[in-house]
Amino acid sequence: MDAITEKLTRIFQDVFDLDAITLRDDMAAADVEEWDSLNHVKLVVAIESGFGVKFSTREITGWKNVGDMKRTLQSKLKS
Amino acid sequence: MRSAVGDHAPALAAWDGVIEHAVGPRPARYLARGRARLDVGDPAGASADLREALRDPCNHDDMERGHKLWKRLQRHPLPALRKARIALLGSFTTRLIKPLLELAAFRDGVAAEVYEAEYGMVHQEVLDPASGLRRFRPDIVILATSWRDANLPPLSPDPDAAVESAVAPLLGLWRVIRDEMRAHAVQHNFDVPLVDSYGHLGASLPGGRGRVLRRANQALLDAAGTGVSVLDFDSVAAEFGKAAWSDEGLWYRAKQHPAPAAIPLLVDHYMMHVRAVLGLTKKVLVLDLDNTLWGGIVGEDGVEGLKLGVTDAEGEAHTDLQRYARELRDRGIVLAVCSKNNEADAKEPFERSAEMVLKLDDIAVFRANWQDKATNIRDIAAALELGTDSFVFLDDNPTERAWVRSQLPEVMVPEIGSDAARYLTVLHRHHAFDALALSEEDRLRAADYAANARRSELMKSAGDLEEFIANLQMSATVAPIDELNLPRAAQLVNKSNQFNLTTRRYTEEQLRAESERPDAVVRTFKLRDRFADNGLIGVMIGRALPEQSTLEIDTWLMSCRVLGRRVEEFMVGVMMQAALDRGLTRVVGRYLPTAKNGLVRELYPRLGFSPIEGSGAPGETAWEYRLDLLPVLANRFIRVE
Repeated sequence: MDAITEKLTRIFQDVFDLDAITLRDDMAAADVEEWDSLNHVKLVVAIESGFGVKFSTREITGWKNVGDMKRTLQSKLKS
Repeated sequence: MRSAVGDHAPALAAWDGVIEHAVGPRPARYLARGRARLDVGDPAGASADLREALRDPCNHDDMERGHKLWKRLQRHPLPALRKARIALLGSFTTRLIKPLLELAAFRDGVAAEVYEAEYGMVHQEVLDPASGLRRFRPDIVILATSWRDANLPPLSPDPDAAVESAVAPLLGLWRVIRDEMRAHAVQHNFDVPLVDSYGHLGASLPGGRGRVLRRANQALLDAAGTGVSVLDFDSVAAEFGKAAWSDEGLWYRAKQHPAPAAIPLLVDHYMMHVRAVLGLTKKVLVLDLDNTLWGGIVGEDGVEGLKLGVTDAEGEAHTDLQRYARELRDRGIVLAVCSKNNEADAKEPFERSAEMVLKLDDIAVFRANWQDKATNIRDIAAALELGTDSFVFLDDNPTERAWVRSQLPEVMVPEIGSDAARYLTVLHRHHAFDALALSEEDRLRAADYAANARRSELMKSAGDLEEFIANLQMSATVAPIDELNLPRAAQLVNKSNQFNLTTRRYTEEQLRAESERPDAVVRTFKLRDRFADNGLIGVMIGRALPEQSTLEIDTWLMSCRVLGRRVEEFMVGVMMQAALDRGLTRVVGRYLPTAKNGLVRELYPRLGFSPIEGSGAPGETAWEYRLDLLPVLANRFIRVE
């Protein structure tokens, strides 16, 4: 697992208060019971502060699944 | 605890080491150990760690994690905290605020049950008698509104009407919360937004949005009376930094305001109001001396070697701390000193240094010795007759801070660090002494506590009671009723219950009429001692009955603050002399029992009066003192001014 996925996994576990979660790129909010609208807000806040990045509104509203999130994150961290 | 140890034991041991030695952020370290302690079945230890983690300023992530530990702790029975029912009504979503408020309440020793409404339902929840809010029966209702609620155009054609339209709907809510729900309302004021199409004109034109919002904030303060306190949301925004206060993306996506990072600071301000409403405001500031109140160690550096005053950067910081403490004292906070020092050394700067802002007189209780500080703080509390839960302890030494915390967890011990320049900011951030109102009594209170504490010190050092009373150096002013003392005399006549022989109440008007009767002898008594001016402390009304050669005491009452000092002996002596001056040779007094005046049941016989037949009401007794046979009672302890 690459470093980004590893860190992202920890953030998901933290926000959803789960002992373990395996992130798959096609995983979406509907697949995880804890992934409600409040936790989604918390998730974005935690990823932003954890990675030291800021997402645009278009980026956030465009996400369909974990893969989308990771791609945005990777492009931010490269630049 | 160790017996329950499973796989977690090594983790716990490792964390103990990390706590002691690591330099990373404290909240994360204590949270991690708290979780480990809970895993091995030690909820009390976990709870202590959670509080410790919250002692430092926490960011939003720390608090989110802290809240998870708090939630797990709710399943375990823990020492009962002060309960409070708090309703959080937001015109924006409060879902990120609620958990942090619960956690901050826990930190402050309050078990808060928080009711949260759907956002944007503020008016409906308050005004609908069948709403969830009404059923919840809150003690405190937080009206979490923002500048958007004022709904102002960038430029209002009629500024007065604009202010009115922003404020009036809120006043209606207050009335319902206060009068119908019998709860306290905490009202956000309007945070003035940074973005304004009129730019600077928004703040300068009479109808500009910024200017109208600032006027509305003023109007909120003017309108708030008892039962409503205004939370200065705009200042919280400034304290946090307005540039980062709003996260517009989160607002558009989730109706979240302010930015999550600002919420820990916001809930600190909520708790300031909650503590004040619940009466949990601190009353006493206990100060260490060396390197806290002044720079350096007086026992080694001597008074001349101390860093104090404007000639030295560090000294200036200490002086500012002293000034702040002095200002706290002036508004009713009690100051005490707790220092490991020889008492004479510790007092020398107060007595000799011109740079000291604080004087010995400002310190209610002074404890400089080599006892441990927790014991000294208990002694200070006993001398002041106040609970240690109303104490704040300021000390530059982390070991002393940790010791006092471990022995007296209820004492607030700010982590002030060791840089004098930072002490004040850290202390102030705790809002320990914030109150919702300031009364004249508050201002007099500090002096009162100080005087009482010094009197009890004297009581300890004085060998016997007579010596103690003599050492008080009391002096009294005896005067008839006049326009100046009438209000206070009437107040005393109407509220004294314990030292009150007949409990007859007179209004101001009746008291004035009484004092003008030719057969009346009315005396008021003021008392001063070497510690304080006690003001008007007693009233006696006598009635001359010449045909019986008698002065009958109709009313006799005294403030309980001056009990145990033989003041009553002095007072009755004054009446006896007044009787003789009128050619009367007998003083008669009655005791009419009430539920509260058992204290004076035996007063007349104690003063040498003899029983006579009374009028026969149940429990009533009557007493006489024959001035043709006995001397006027003299009192050597009180000088007449």
